[in-house]
Amino acid sequence: MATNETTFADQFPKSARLTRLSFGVAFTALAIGGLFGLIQALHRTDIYRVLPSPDYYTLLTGHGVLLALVFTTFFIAGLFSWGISNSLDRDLPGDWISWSWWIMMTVGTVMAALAIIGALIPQIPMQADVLFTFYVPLKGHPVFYIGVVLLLVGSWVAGYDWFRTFWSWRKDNRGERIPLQTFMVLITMLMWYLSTMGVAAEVLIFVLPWSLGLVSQIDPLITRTLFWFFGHPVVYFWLLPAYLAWYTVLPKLSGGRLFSDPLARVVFVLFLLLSTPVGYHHQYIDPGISEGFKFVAMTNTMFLLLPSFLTAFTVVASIEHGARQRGGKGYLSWLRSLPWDEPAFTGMALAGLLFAAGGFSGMVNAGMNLNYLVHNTLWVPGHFHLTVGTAAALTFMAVSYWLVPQLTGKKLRLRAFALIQPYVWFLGMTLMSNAMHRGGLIGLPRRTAEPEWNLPGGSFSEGIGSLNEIQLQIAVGGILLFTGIVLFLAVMVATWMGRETPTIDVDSTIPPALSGAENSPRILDNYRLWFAIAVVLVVIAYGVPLWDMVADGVFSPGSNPVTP
Amino acid sequence: MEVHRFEKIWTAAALLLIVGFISTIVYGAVGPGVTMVEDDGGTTDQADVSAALADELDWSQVENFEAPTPKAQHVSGDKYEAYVVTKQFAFQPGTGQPLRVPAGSTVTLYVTSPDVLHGFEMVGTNVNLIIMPGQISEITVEFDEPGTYSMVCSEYCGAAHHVMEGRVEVVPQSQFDSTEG
Amino acid sequence: MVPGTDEGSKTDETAATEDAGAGSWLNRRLLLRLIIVLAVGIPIVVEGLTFIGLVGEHIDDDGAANGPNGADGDGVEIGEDLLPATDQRETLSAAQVVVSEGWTLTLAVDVNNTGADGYSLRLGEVTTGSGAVVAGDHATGAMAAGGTTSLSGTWDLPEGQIAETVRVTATVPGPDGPQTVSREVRLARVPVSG
Repeated sequence: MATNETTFADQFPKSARLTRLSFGVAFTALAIGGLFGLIQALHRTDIYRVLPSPDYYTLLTGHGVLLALVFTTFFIAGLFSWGISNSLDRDLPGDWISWSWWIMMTVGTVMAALAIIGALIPQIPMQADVLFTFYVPLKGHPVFYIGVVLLLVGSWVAGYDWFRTFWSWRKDNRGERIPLQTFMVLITMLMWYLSTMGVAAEVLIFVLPWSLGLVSQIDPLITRTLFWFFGHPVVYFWLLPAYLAWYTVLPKLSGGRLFSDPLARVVFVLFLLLSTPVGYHHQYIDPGISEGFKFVAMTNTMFLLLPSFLTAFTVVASIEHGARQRGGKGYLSWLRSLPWDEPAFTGMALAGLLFAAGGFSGMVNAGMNLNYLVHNTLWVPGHFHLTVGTAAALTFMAVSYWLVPQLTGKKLRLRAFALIQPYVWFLGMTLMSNAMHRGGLIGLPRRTAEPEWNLPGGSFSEGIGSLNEIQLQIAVGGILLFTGIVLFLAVMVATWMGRETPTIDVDSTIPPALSGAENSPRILDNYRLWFAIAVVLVVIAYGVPLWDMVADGVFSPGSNPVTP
Repeated sequence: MEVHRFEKIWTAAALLLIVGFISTIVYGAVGPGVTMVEDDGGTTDQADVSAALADELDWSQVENFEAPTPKAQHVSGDKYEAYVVTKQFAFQPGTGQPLRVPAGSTVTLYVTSPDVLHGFEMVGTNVNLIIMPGQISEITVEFDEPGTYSMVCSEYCGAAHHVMEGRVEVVPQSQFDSTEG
Repeated sequence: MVPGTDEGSKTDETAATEDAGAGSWLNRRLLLRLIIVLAVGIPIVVEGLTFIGLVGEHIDDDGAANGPNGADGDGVEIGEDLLPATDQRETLSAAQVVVSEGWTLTLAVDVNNTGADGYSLRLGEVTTGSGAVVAGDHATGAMAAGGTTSLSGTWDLPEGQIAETVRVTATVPGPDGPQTVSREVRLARVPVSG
């Protein structure tokens, strides 16, 4: 029976090519960024150091940029390219416009990466020890900012590539509901266009000219506010693709079907509306912003919990449906009937589980006056390693196990590695993130190269003994996570380099949802309407405060650059 | 659009939880009266702050700010004021000499930076501020019992960020009054 | 996979043994079971023990472990005496680290010989927070009775490290000959400027 099946790569070669190349850059960034993370974990806990402490911040910048900006954006570009072609049943144009986005993004990445690494290499006269948030007045080399801009603009063109593919499908399919995966891609990109306005304005109007010396002083408050205009929705830019996988692929892997297509659409629309007007929750303890705006951001953020709660329901219901198709019975025993030996399933399921914990620690962050206790402490990385570091990253790795064979026509190799990798990630992340949360509660700061246990006013309240245990768990967790990355990359490389196989052992069909799009009002598909409302909400949340900030002078109170 | 009964219950519960979370925050603001840092500290010229620190400018010329001193200044009753500068890589006062406040006082802190962003975090408390050049962070803190608190810089400020630490000493009123300021 | 039931995992395993037959398939199931037990069990055990430890600590001290304490605040500050053990006054007048080409520590001491002729003070090696030892030797030389001088010195610290202690040695003339008083003096947090 071994015939050559038609894979996605055969059906949609242009889309597959762009996806493969995007994944290639993503995985390279994952490797380097992950290695930096390992060095950081061992350095910060004072267990093993290879560099002096000031260089820690170079690695930290690299870790943040390569993982939270490059790995994510490139993987998403690949995943969305696949999602569009898979659900619309048509290839991407694959012309010079398609290629331009990949090239722009890659060139931008290389530029930013060189600027960052330059701090460690004397031959490269550049540095960008500014961390992934690049707050002013710390200044990096202009090449860093140009690189970031190219990465952003490239992502905008990628969105256009997907929209135009949709529009050409639309001409041939008038009156039909937008297929779910495409709907998710379009809504996510609309949110991306709206939110990146902030960081684009920040870099193009303020930071880049300032770093080139064209402007001598810029206002740290405006630039920081514009960054966080973008900085919160970017986390949904990372999360929504994971949701795409959980809604459309995970039910199938569980052996069943998506519980409700309409509710998935509602969730995505809610994210489009609410993701951006909440940026002030990253600036609760900033001066220069009145409490009223912070309060509004707080209430908006709390309501952002709703779409994630809805997702939890739908995803678990879909998984349960799948388990029962496989013969599961009882209130909880059906969990045993799930394919825990299937790495794509396991990765996504464990990612969802850890995300629940991350969501709640996010609620603490969102809790305005509660935020005083956790802001800039180790709690914050504890939180986001669960969200972007697991819900997104582990899901992306899990999806790759299922998708890469379809993109390459090659069976997954080193299956034993793939089998244990999600569990290793789960274990490492539980240890590291839990210790980080606890460390933050006793006041350990984040983004700091030294353990700081000989404090002038007395040590952290738990005493040195507990501090040692926290440091140890962070180090062990970090080592396990890096092991998880190595296992994943080994599987990817072995699969990619392997020969083509007659079968790829992957069932790529996605069954229709139990409750389909036809059960939802058509207005859900009216993305132009939702985008307009989203813009209005942003104007309400940001209009007055931004006006206040520029009213006393666009560039004032201004600061000169300081090289870190 | 049909919504499963369980989903309706779940959504209602989620909304209830969200409203519950918001209420706890409102309680924190209204009950114990925890206020957020706002813009009442005003703005200043960070270059002036920098010059005053280097003794090139008189502190009276610095808008909305006064010279930082290790001993908090008495305003009236149990109310005090303290001016603190966070710079690369020390708290002034705080690092070389600790900031001293009397026990049982209410101190309004005014904090600014002459160079980059810093954090002002008193470990083990909810005094946690972002200090921004050009802005003055104003916060009022109640110090009840005597003791010593550590300060750490909680916002990355450069290569020696991890070295930036300081101390706040809450001393009994009599001891406070007798030390030089 | 074997249809799950409400019974315990042992029954599942037995059913699997009867069902499988192929050796490698069985090994895989065992491996999976082992992995799941480890992946879920280790965090539960570790975090459980940690939690019990934390709760125990809270019960013991009833919150006294939290909050401020002055354990490490005992360094010598500017304006304080480096060697209280001697009658002479050795007042720390400056302590500063400047970061430019390297990390340069500067210490200055106002020395007042309130005792007899022949007193001298020496500042020796500095030890950093990470345990590195930086050599240095700065001395006043023999001072006359009632004499005052300012002694200063610089040390090149390894990049990124904090100056923690300095070895201070005083030679105090006495009726039975010169006495040596030598101490490893802890410094209060020395400000670092960039």
